[in-house]
Amino acid sequence: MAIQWSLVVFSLLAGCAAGSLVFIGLAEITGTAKKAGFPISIIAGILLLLGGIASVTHLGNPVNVMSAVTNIFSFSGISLELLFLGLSLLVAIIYAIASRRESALGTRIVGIIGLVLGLILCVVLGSSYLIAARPAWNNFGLPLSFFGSSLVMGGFLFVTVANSVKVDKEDIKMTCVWIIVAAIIALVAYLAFGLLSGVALDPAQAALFWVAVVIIGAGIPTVCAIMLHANTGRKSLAYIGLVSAVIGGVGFRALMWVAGSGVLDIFGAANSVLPF
Amino acid sequence: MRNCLVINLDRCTGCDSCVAACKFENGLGLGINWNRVIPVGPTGTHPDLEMYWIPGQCQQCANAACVSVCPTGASYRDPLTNVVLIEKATCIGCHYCAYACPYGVRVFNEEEHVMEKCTLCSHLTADGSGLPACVVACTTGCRFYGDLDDPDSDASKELAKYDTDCIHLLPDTAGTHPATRYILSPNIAKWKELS
Amino acid sequence: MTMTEKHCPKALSRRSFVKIAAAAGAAAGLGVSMSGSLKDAGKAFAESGSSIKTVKTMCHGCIQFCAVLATVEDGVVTKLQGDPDSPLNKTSICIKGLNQMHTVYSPRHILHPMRHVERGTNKWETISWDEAIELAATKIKEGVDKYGPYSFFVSSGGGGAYSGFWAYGFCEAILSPNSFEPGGAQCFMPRASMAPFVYGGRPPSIADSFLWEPFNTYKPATKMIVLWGAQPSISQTALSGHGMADLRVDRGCKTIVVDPNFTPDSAKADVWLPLRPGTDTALVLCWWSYIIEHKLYDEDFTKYWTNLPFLINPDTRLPYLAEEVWPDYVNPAKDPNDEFSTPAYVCFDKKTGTIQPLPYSLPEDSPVDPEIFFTAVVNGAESRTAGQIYYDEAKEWTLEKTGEYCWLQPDKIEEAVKLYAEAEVAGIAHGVATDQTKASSEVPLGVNGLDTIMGYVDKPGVTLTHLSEQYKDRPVMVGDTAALGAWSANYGVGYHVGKTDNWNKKRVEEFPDQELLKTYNQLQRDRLGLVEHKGFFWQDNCHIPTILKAIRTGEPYKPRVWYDFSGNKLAMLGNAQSWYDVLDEIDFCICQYPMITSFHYEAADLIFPLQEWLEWNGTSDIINNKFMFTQVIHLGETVNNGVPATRILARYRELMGETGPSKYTVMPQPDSEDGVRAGVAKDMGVESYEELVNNQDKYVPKVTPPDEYWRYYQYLDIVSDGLPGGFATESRKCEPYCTILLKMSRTGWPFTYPLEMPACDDYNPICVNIPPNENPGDDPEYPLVITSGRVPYYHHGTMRHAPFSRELYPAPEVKINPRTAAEYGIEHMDWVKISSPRGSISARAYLTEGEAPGQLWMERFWNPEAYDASQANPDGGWRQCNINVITDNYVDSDTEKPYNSVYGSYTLRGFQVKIEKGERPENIWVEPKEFEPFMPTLTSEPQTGDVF
Repeated sequence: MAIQWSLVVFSLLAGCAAGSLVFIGLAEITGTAKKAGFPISIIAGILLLLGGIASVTHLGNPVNVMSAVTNIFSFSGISLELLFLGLSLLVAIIYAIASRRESALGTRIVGIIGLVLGLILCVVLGSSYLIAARPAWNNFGLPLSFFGSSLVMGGFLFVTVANSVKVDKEDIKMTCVWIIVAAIIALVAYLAFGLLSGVALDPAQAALFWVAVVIIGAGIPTVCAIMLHANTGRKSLAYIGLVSAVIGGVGFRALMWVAGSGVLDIFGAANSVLPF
Repeated sequence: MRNCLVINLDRCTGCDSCVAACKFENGLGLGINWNRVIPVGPTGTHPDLEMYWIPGQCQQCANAACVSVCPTGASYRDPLTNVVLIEKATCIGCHYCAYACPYGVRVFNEEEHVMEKCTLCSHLTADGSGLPACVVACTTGCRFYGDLDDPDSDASKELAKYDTDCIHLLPDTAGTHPATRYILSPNIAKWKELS
Repeated sequence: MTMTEKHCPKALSRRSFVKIAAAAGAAAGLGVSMSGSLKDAGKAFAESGSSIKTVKTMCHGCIQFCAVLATVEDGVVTKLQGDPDSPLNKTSICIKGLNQMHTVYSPRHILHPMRHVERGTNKWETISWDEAIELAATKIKEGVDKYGPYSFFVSSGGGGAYSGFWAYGFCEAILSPNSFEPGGAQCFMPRASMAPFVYGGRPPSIADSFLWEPFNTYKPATKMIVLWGAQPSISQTALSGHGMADLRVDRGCKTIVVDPNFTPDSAKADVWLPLRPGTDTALVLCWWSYIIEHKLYDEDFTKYWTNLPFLINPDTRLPYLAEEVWPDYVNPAKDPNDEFSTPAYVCFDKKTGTIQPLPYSLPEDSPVDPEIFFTAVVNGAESRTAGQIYYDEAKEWTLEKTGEYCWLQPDKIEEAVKLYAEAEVAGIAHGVATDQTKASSEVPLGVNGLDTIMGYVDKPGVTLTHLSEQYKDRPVMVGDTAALGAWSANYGVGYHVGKTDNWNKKRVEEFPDQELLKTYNQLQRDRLGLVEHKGFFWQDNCHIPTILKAIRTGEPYKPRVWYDFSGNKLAMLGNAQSWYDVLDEIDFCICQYPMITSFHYEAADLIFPLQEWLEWNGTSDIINNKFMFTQVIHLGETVNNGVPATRILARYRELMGETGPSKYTVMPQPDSEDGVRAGVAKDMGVESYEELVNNQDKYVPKVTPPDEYWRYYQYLDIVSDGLPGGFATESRKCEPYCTILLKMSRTGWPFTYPLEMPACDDYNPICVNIPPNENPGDDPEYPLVITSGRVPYYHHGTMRHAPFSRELYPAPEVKINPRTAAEYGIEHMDWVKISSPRGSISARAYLTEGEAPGQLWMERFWNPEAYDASQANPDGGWRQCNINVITDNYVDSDTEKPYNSVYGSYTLRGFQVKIEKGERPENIWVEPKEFEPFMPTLTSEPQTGDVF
């Protein structure tokens, strides 16, 4: 089906933000957040806001978002997304306020809450696409890919910002370990999605999948994270990792839509000759 | 109660009159359809061929995924007729119902910014007085409307004429359990699972 | 008043209508030229008001008419559905019928007479009815005064406004012989007229409401039906199409479809024979051969009720009369009053082993047991029976040879012929396909003949039936629209087949107006192309390529003032460019139609607005039920399609200084809407139209009791001469050996009697193989054979402005086998170019195994959007996708005898082309939203009263 760019942008921005909240939380636990936490929480807040706006443009009419809000407790996929998007935004704001007030305990508690919410949002973004009617989507590889993609983007966003605010190199090293884990999760997730959905072997989609998603979206970030771990000073590696992760994230999401045919597209089939 | 269409493909000749009848009855604009007819075939190699047509529209699934994913309750099951409908006033146009529909029979109305689909002409049928426009217009008398749980309905009576090996459903891999039945006798054509 | 409108659609909005009306009021004082246009409809059924009502009417979306119910809300038709009272379409209505809601309210529906400012511009000046009639009558008169009446000619056909037989009558009233329609020889006439020639009854045409027996639910009997070149599911979707669905599913009727096209009827058939286009005669002969060889024919019926046992004089090719062999023979069936003719023939009697007279009698009373297949010496000459002649012609067409020639599997042919011949009862329903080939006479001759030797005649379940006619006397074939010649009876011309020579001679001598008779004979003699193709006399038409040549060259005279009664001639006539090229030779072209088409764009000087069917009054039958067309609404100044001609003729006669009723005027068309209404009331058997429309539930339909309607075995009923009725042919028997064709070719008999036309080559009295003019392999430049057929979205040249049809089928699709497509690198839905020596057209490729490799199929098309107001460089829309750009009418061909001998048919199906990848042509629309300018705009038009 057609690529729904509103939703691609939404899940990309919200995923990146959610991933970065996770990394703030991890840094809080290991005590390595320090200078980076505040700017990243601000960026995360902005990304969540922009993501929210992108998702609203997908609705029939943007003002309809109020209906979505009033029906938030229907716990449908879209309301869960909205719910956790809102909660994450709230946490990002509280975290930013807390870190401005230099409340170490406050940032730690809020950061850990953010970690939990971020992880949930990373999953929620994908789980609403677990729809039986779309066989290509309906496998664990899809939410796992959203999860992995979001974490890798969030992780590289974290180190990119951390580098630019001159966070201690040893602290970044610790973060790099987590990024390596996230990148491997993404790699596994993408492969799982690709194989289970069939896009990995579909001649029309395989090139995009293997190059943009697997190699650029997960392979390069893994290498970057490993190299960064070895030499945290190389800022360019963080940039490359971030850009690659974003490219992979876009590619994955676009492919998801392209491959997302229903069981039977009656109205489409009426206009074509069915292959037999 | 399972109100739906039963469509006898032994009769259908794919003339598309049901498509036009639906559009006139429901005031649908150019490019918008609530039903279409899929040509299945010709299959085989000339001149040994088979062909039939599947008129397709909302399948009135028992386990309607469109209803369960709707964030606002706009996709709902009518309490009176048990028919799956869309309340346009509460539809926010999020498209999730369309993603959840295994059969691609929901269309987005770009002017009203809401999702639409076949209503089984509920404005005519809900009180039991009328039939869907496509059923009335059908040029081969291949469409039958009614409650599958009522043995006296047109739909049930038509089904009762055929052996079970002539009665088919669209693929139910999504587990939504479509109510709509298609009749196709093996001597007309072998049923092909569509995908 | 002059109002130049760049594009007629804009001229027809409600606002413009009011403007026109106001201008008319100012200029003419309201009540002269536009008197009718502003009157309140005044009819209870058509009144505006905040009400919803349902009106019973009929659909005229194709050549069959479904009974429908129209829902009218506040004066606007909002819903159409089938009338449940209809025994055949029931509640059904097809997309063509539904399209009427877009057609009658279409921005393209013209509502006023308009004069073309200049041909090819689509700039029109709205004029009054009086001005328009004056202009038309004057232009006809100018031509007649200057060049004589043969300068005038008419055409009809093409769909959307049916005016055929009174168009011909109009032509004759001007004393001109030449009228034609693109169908005629290419559609309907051959198969419709051959049945009366062969058995004196109704044609087995499932497309034209002639054939009802298979749909008889009163006493259903049809067990097996052959659709030969017919596709009711597409062409007559809701009527015969619905009937076929009922037959197949509810009644388990077996079907065979003989058609190169994989139609829905082919898909549902028990046996589908996809023969190579144009090779039908070989298959017909193969069936003949197989049936004779395997003795599957009905021996008793063939022996006593067909002319196959007759011994044929090898010199005359006609059957010997008993008196020719035994001068003293006394024919026991001779009518003492010398009125009815029942000849005795000569046969070889099995009982005596000698040739014997074969007098007409019931089989059980026959003194002889005639051999059907035999060669005997008669009067010293070796003479074959007609049956033997047929068998000799047919026997080379074995299953294998036929399979190879026709691209068929021999075992499938055998399966089909056995299914047909071994059925308890069966019949062949014959469609348009073969009318569009060179074998247009031979195929119906052959298939009707097959039904006769099978005894599938005049009995329950067959397709050769008589319906409610009941014989009192020996049946006679006379000149009327159903049997022999269109209007000849009105002029006293024509031989009554079945009556004696003396009686016919006397009838002619005693005809009260000898001048009228001679005038008509003269028109027949001078009609273009009729020396060669005398079958045209059946429909009072001329030969299309011959009149085209006459327009071009002035030989033998030059037709130059044209009155076209309906349709888009540039889309419907073969070799369209050849017609476009002679338009400059036309001094004035009068048209009438509900729409502006390519033809009006390019050729019309004046156009009269006709009613769409929701504005129409009339009646028609569905089996034994008579329904009515009801004028549900009326917009602008549209009129019934018979009205302009009657009005023009009246004014023409005034201009010519003629007074009193014209003896040449045989048009039975009323000249006013009230006249039409009166006719409807009369037809429905109701005192007044008001009474009828106000009580439709009571009067519609008018039902003929089924036991009166369905009659069988009438040939066995003993009639006034004490003999069985028999058939309305010369021999009183079925004539699969069609003697009338022989006599026709030699003198024009029986059509032109007493005039003897010059002879041409004998027409074949039996089916012989007629190969297509062009065959695969003839010319490597054009390797593919193309055929044609309809799609369910359109009828003839109509409805290309109907947006819901166009979005489903926006452009013609050329069907091609995927293997053939691969050879040309063509993929599904690619635009392709298809070319013949006449030109090139565009279509989209539809890859399907339904098409034989090496064969193409394409629907005819034209594009009214090409002159939409939005086009920067508008054109007539007939060149882009019109298959008739590549068909041939052989006016510039060196092919010898390219036409069907009897009917002069040219070939529209089964000719050679090439295909290559192409591009979407200019000025055509394909996306649904592009058709927005075709959506209805006239729903707010005021309801108007009658113009006349």
